[in-house]
Amino acid sequence: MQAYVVKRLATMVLVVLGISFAVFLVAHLIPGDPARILLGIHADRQQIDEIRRQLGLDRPLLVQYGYWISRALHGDLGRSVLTGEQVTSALAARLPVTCSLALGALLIALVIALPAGIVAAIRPNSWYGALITVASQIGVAIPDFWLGIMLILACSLTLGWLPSFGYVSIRESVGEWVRHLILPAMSIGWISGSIVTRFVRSAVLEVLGEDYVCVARAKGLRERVVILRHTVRNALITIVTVVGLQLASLLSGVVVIEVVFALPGLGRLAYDAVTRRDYPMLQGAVLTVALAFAVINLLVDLLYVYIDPRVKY
Amino acid sequence: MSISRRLKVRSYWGDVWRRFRKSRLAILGALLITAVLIAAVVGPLLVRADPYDVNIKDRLLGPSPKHLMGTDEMGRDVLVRALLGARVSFGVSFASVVFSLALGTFLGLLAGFYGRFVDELIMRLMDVLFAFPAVLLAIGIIAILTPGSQNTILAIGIVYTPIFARIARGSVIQVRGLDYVMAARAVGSPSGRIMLRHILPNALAPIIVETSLSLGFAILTEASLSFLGLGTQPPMPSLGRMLSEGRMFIQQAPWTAVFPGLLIMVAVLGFNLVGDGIRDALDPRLRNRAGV
Repeated sequence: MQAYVVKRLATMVLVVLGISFAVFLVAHLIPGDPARILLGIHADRQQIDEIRRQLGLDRPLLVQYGYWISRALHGDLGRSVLTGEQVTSALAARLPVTCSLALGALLIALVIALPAGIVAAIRPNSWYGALITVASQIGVAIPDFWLGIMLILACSLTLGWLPSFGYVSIRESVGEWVRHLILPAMSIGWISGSIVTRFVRSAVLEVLGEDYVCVARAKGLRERVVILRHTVRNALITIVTVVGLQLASLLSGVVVIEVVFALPGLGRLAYDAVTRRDYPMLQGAVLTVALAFAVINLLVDLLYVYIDPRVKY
Repeated sequence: MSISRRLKVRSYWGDVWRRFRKSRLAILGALLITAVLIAAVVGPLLVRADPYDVNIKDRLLGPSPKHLMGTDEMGRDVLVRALLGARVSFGVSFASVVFSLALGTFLGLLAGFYGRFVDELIMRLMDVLFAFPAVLLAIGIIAILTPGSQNTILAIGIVYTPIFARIARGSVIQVRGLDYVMAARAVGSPSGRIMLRHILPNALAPIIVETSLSLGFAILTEASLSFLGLGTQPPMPSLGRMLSEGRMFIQQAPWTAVFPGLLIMVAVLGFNLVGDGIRDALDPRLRNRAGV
């Protein structure tokens, strides 16, 4: 087990280094000179060279990467080229928004997927089993931003129940925080829920065919115990994998939804950074998201051992 | 009379087709795709409206016999623009999946066949690409290349390459140790021939399934990118961009956003249903394993 964790961590460090280099490269391959953007079109050559020297843009690429990564390891990701804001503090301010959104969406997804998937598996031939299957197929096919727009149309503009944009911190008001998150979280949670439903259903169906479920029934256990303790418990390992992957993709896939609902999260930050050619900000945002992605995947792998003691590394 | 005629030989692909036909959902999916494709290809020719004709007097009109889906903020017919947009969006998605299919399968084939160093090099590179969130990676690539249809194809193509590489590698590894590959090696077939003639055809099933499922995802990704203004550029219509423009007038003119979104949904649903159908038909044992 320990050897596995060490090996897994080592691979993760390698992949993260690869990611950081890719992020660094991407930011430098983007056309447009940040020095020129900073100074405007009327700046003369000398001023531009001066700024390029200050920003270290005149050094060789590998040297720039070396500096950048060593500073990054000390928690310094530089400053925004446009606003001069510390990248790390901007990330710290945005991270809670994206996390709230992703966790809210995951909550909605699980509330939909667990009961729906289990019911669809134990009654595959009933009308509601079929309904769940069809609904989950449609759910996966809906573009999340379109669902968001439709929810805004229905719940904010027509019924006036919920706000259609913006974010209120949980420290300011818990109620408003929830109200502002419901629609965006529903837009992505519904789709995520549809995906998880399909996996829960197939995982439960597979376990239902096992001999020990048959034995449990033969022993005369109540159906509820057979399903919850013998079937779902054993289907959990598949479910946890999918839920972990979903959380990772929710954390990273929120760009469009954050734009639709004008939420000041990481995705929005990355999007703005790309359109404004703000290298340091883009590097920081993408690095954070990719890092979160890698850590969640690691945690999912390690969780297996607790869920299923038969898994040995 | 030959034996084959008396026994009515059933080919592998014949069996696959027979099983595919039996799935009602898969047939529904195929019908949806056909309908959407015909509408996208033939539709713009049938609707008598110019997709680029700006007519401010007719802006944001509701659905009527003249404009079945109403008009947008510039007085252009929503129906004809959505059909034309669908043509562009689907074209971009197809091209990007073909790109990732070709590149990913090639890389996966090399990695699986040669193993060791080649495998490590290719797959670690794929891991790094895979570690990036899809939409963010695509946005980054487009930012380097500047927005536009061709670069969207490249961006989505690169994003989906690692999936194909992994799947191809996995199924190549399963096949490469089998007797007929050994036999081909023993008679001295060159590596390229073994890969293309003996391994690839037998490793194809999961790749075909992934192709159909990826088409659905590619349409969604293309729509997201266009929605953000990074995909197809105006005045060329695209479904994602229509949604982002329609969003501004959603209260006065909901039809500008509803119809393009429905079109995307129907197409993606079609590809997903067909993908599931093909998966079940290719390998009945997989049924109920990887989804509904």
